Amino acid sequence: MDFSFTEEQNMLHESIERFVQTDYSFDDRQKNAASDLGYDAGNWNTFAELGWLGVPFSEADGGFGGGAVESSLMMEQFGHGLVIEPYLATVVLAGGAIKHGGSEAQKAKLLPGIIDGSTQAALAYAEPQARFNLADVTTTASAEGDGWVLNGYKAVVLNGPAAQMLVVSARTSGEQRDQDGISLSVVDTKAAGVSRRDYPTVDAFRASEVTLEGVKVDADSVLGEVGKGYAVLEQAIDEGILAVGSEAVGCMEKLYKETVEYCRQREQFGQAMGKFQVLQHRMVDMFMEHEQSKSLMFMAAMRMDEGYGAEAQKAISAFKVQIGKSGKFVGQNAVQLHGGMGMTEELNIGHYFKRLTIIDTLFGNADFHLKRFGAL
Amino acid sequence: MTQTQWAQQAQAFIAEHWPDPQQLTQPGSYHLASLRWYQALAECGWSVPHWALAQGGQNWPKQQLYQWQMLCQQAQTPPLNTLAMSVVAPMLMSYGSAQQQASWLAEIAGFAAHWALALLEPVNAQALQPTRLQQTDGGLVLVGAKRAMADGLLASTELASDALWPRWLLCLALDSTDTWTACVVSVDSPGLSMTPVANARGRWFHVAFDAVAVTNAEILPLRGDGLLAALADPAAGQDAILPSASSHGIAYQLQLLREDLLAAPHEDSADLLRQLSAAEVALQGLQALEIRAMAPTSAQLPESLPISVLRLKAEALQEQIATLQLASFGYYALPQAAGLSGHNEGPIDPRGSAAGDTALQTSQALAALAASDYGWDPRDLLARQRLGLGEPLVSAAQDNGESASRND
Repeated sequence: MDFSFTEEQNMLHESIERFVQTDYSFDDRQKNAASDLGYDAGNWNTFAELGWLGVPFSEADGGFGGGAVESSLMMEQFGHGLVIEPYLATVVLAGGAIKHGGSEAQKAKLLPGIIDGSTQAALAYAEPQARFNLADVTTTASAEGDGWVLNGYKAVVLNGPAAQMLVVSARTSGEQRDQDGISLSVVDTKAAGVSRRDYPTVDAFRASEVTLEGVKVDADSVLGEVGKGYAVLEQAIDEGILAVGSEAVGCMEKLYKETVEYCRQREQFGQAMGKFQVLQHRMVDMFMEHEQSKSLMFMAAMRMDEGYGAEAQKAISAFKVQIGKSGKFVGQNAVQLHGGMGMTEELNIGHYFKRLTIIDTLFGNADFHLKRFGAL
Repeated sequence: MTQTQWAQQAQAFIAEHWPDPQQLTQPGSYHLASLRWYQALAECGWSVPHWALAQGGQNWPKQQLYQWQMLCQQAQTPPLNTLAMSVVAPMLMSYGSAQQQASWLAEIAGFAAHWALALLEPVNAQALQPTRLQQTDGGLVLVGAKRAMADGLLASTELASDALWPRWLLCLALDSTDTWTACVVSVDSPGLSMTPVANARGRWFHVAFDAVAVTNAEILPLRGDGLLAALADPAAGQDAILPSASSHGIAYQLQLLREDLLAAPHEDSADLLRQLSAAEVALQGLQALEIRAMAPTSAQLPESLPISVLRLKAEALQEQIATLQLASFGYYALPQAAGLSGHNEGPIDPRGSAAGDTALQTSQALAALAASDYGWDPRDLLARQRLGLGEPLVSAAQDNGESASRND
């Protein structure tokens, strides 16, 4: 394994870094997060114009032809800026499910809208009783005529409020927790029988509870083979883990560097706080946690690009365990070293802390992935 | 030569000079094989492949060095890096005079003599004064006492005690201007006495200096804060340190521990296996850091990863494994290995262990749980060099000239 990067990857990294540093202020981010939409449509258009929304899709599908490494490089930069635009939900999760499960015709129909920025999408996979088990699905898809009828309830659908298209996991056969018998369907959010309850999340994103009551979809809305959607879902979620984990790496870097800078300036007992050895050691530990997480990010991304299988899954779970542990450590220490103001709304530190805390929970926390790692 | 050809050559070298560990069970066999191994390394210049050609090394690139270490660890050869190679030699190369380099580098590369680091002050000294390099009518003399750590990598319990005796000391002292100074002293110098000190980690000596004469040729040109920084991390700023590949040895330890836990399940096995998984995750992290340390810089990796980061992580993981080992041994963590060396009745633990005698493993685990190698915390250096935080504050008592020479 070799952690060296191509010229294209370096250019992609630099262009996103420049955007986040110069065009994505924390104040604007807060204003956009509080808007009706929950993000800035102008930024989304910029992402499309710069080709970022097509990064993980093949050139044949109209994308950039990038892989896991490119996605993680992007998300790391998004983590620096605490980017609020729904890249994860639309491109990585819903787009990922279509990319891995869809036929050529489905990809030709669905992906261009995602890549050009005209379609917002969401992956509706979680259910209230399921916790982190992707196979625990009670939503049903029953055959009716040439199509299917969906009934059920989907929990915490990220980007649900803005999505025009949902990719929904539903059971077409088998028992509640069987991996076999799960199918993925593409559902128009305006279809009859789809209702939502929208809400903000603690990290300033948006989500919905989605109820499906007799929602009719065509046969060609099912992604891939009927009953074989679990593998597609698992791969899309693992790509989601790599994405949010990379975002967490960016968040951690921002937090430890801002904390170091703060401690160099802030004086206590007549000295800069950064002069105290015990605080220096704590900041070095934050630096170490970040470096450790970043190294595992590269390893996980490269394993994914080598081919999706048990080794890649293991690397992803190891990465998620590390992110959970390191994110908590870096976030808590950043808040503590900033004192009470660390959790005030006007300072960005608390917002990074909240995002890191939520990232640990997303797609299974550190405990869940430690168990998965041991079982693989 | 291609990378593949080189790897084949390296594997052939190991196969020729280091036997299968299964053949080393007879008393004395490991020691004899070790001596032959070190001799073979020294003869072909592979003892210090990371050094420049002019200094007797091979100038191998980092990736190759990493692979070399990996192959050696897979074959379970004796350790490659001595204390003299990892601390003294980099100091000499960067800051030593031409005469000092000529005197000691070849000897270090050839495993010809043991070294000890006399950096720390004994906590039970009669007077809490640092060791001094004093100017007298008869010349410069060392006065004071030190706790010195000797090279333990070449040690074996089968060696006679005099074979482990250091020949040279690298000693830190304050000169008449209260500037930190390092000098190399022969242990045979008149006025110098050494006594072994029992310690859970490494081999330590109490060293007393009673007006030990030192010549200018034995004093390193580098002094003061620069000297302390160089001692704290000899790897900083140059490539004379063999890059770490400790993850391979640790991976083997974890594999054996997993085998033990699965072979004899008990009430706590599930919990221990879960902790083992956590250690395996940490191992992946260490492997990723090692690969990263070897990677070229780029937009994503604008700075090389300091070797001290690897050291900190490897030590933390060794500690994690040691805790897990002791927990898995249960009551069989109690027998002391040193108390068993006089008989040949085999291990005390009747259950057996994939890694061998649990008493010996306990001894190694205790060492891993003890303090860091030299008494220096690499975080001090990382705070200065990577975070730009400057010198830490020290207490008034330490400020009186004792801060840099910590008590053990």
